[in-house]
Amino acid sequence: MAGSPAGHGERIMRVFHDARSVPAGSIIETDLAIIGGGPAGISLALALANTPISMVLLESGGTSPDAATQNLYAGTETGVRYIPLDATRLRYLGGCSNHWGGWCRPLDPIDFETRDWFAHSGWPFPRGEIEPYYKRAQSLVEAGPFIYDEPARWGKALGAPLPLGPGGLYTTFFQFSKQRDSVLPTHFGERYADDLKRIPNLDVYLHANVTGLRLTPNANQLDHLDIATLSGNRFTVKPKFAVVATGGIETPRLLLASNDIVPVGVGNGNDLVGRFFADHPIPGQTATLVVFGGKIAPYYQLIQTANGANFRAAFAPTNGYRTSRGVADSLATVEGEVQLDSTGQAAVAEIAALFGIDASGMRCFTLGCGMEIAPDPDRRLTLTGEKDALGMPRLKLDMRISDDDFRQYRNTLKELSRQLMLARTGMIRILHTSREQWLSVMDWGNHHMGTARMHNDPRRGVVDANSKVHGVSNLFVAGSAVFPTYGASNPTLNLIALVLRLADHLKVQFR
Amino acid sequence: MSVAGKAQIARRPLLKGLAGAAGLAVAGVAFFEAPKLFAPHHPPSPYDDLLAQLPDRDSAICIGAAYLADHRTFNESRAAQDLRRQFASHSLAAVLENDLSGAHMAEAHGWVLPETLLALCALAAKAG
Repeated sequence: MAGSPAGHGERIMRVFHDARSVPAGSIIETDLAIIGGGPAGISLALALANTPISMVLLESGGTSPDAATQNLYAGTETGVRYIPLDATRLRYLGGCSNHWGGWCRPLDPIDFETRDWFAHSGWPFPRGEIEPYYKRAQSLVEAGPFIYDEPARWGKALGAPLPLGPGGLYTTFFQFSKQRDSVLPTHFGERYADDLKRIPNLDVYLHANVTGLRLTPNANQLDHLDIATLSGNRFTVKPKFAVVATGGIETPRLLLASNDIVPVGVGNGNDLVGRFFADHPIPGQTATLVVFGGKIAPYYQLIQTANGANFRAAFAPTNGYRTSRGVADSLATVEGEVQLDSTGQAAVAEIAALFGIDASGMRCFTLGCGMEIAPDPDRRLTLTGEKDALGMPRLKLDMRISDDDFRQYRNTLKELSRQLMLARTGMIRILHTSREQWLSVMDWGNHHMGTARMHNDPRRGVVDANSKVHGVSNLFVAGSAVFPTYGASNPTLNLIALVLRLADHLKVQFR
Repeated sequence: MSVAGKAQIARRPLLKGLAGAAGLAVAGVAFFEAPKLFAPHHPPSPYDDLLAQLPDRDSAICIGAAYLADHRTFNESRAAQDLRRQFASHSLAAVLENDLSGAHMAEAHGWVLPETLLALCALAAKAG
C-alpha cells in the first residue's frame, strides 16, 4: 500500500487498492468487510472511521464507469415495463449516487407503522429509532439544514403555500443534495474519495467483485468472501463481520447465488430473498392543476434556494388521511404549464360563476408524482441460468403494479381537488382512468427497495431490526434493500440514516 | 337662384337626416336584439326549474356531455327528483358547499367536481 506523509497534523492520504494487482490466492483478514461502494457502503465506512475496527471496502467498479463492469448488471425483465437492470444502476465508486437526482425527504412516522389496511406493513421500530441519525445523514448528502416541513421558513422567503381547504393533503417540502459547480447532487464516490483515503482503519479495493458469501459448514456464520476481478484474478477476504451494501437488486443476487452451503441461498430459508422488490412509480403526467388566480409560489415548480438549502414543494397526504382512507403515500409535484381543452374551460367557467371567483388570470399545470406501491411478494428477482463474465447467475425481474396502487393515488388526487375548491383556489383534472393509460406514462425512480426486508420474525423478514441476516451471526445488509415498506420519499437520505444506526450497532459488536 | 331651386336644396338635408335617423334606429335595434337572435336557444325541458340555477348553461351542457359519456346509466328523472328534494330546503350554493365538505365528488372527463353540479350539468346536456 502506498502512502504519502502529510505535515502539520494532516492525516496520511492513502491510495485505493486495485484488486487486479492483489496476489492471486491471497487471504485478506479484516474486522469488517463492506461490500459495495455506493452511498450506503461509503457512509458506513465514514461512520466507522478512526475506530479500532479495521475495514475493507470492496467496490466492483473503478472511479469511473466502464462497459465491461456495467455489463455485470445485465439481466432480464418481465411483466410491467421496467428500466433494464443494467441501466437502472451504476457499477462504480459512488454507485447509484452517480445518477442521483438529489431529492431528499425523510420518511413519515406512519411509514414505519403496522397498518392493517396495508398488507406486509410495519418496520420493527418507529421512526424515532432513526430520528437521531437524520441530521448526520443530511450532512452527508449535503442538503443544508434539516428543515423540510417548516413551510413558514420557505414561505417567508418566496411566498405562502397554495391555500388548501381542510382535508387530507398538505404542502410538504423536499430538500436537495447541494449543487456544487453545476453538479447537482452529491456523487458519493467523487465527493468522498479523499475522505475515504484519509481513514486510517480502511482499505478500499476497486475492481473487486464479491462472487460468493461463504458460510461455515453449520451455516450460522459467514466464513469468507470470494473476490474476483474481470482480469481473472481471485482472492479471499476473511472478515469477522460483513455488510452487504450492494443495493436492492444486487443484494438478493449475491445472497441467492451464494448457495454452496444452503442450497436456497444465504438468508433465504423462508423464501423471502428477492421478493417484495419495489420502486417508486413516477408517471410524468397524472393530472392537470388549475390555479384560479394564476399565482403559485415558485418553489412548487422549480428548485429554489433559501435558508441555505435547495428545496421544492409537493402535495402529500397527511398521516391521518392515509389512515382514515387507507391510501398509500404519494408526492404530487407541479410541473409544466398547459392549456385547457373545451371541457376544462367549461368546468372552470361554471365553477368560477357558481362560486363568484375571478378566474380570468388562471394558469394550468401538469402534476407529476412519486407513488408508493403496496408490498407484493410476487414482484421479485430470481436467478436465471445465464451467467455473467464472472460466472455469477444473472437476474430476472418480474415487475408488477396493481390496479389498487393507481386507485389509491386517484383518490388522493380527488381529495386534493376537493380541498382546492373548498379554498376557492383551484381544481384538478385526473388524466388517467384505465390501467393502460397509467402504464403509458409510467416511469420509475430507480429506487430499488425491499428485497431483503427487515422484520424481527424470520418468517417475514430476511434481516432483523439491526439489519443482521436472520440465522447468520455476522452478516448484515445495509441500504434500501431492507425497507419493508417504502413510503413515497426518495430513499437515499433514509437509507443513510439507517446505515448510521447500523454503524453504532457494529461499534457495540466490536467492544 | 329660383324659388323652385331653393325648395329643392332645403329638401335634401331633410332626406339625409331622415335616412340617418332610420339607420341609427336599425343599428340600435340590431345592437340590442341581435345577441338574442344568435344566442343558443335551449328548448323547453321538464328540468327548466332546475337548470335556471346554472349560471352558464352552455358550459354546463359541455360538462354534462362529458359526464354522460362515462355514466351511460344516468337516470335523469331520478336525478331531477333528488335535486328538487335538495333544493326545496337548500340553495344551490349550500348544496354545493355540502358536497365539498362531505367529499361528494364525481368526475366528468377527469374533472373532479361536486356531485350535485354534475347531476345538473347532465340534465342540461339531456335537455339540450
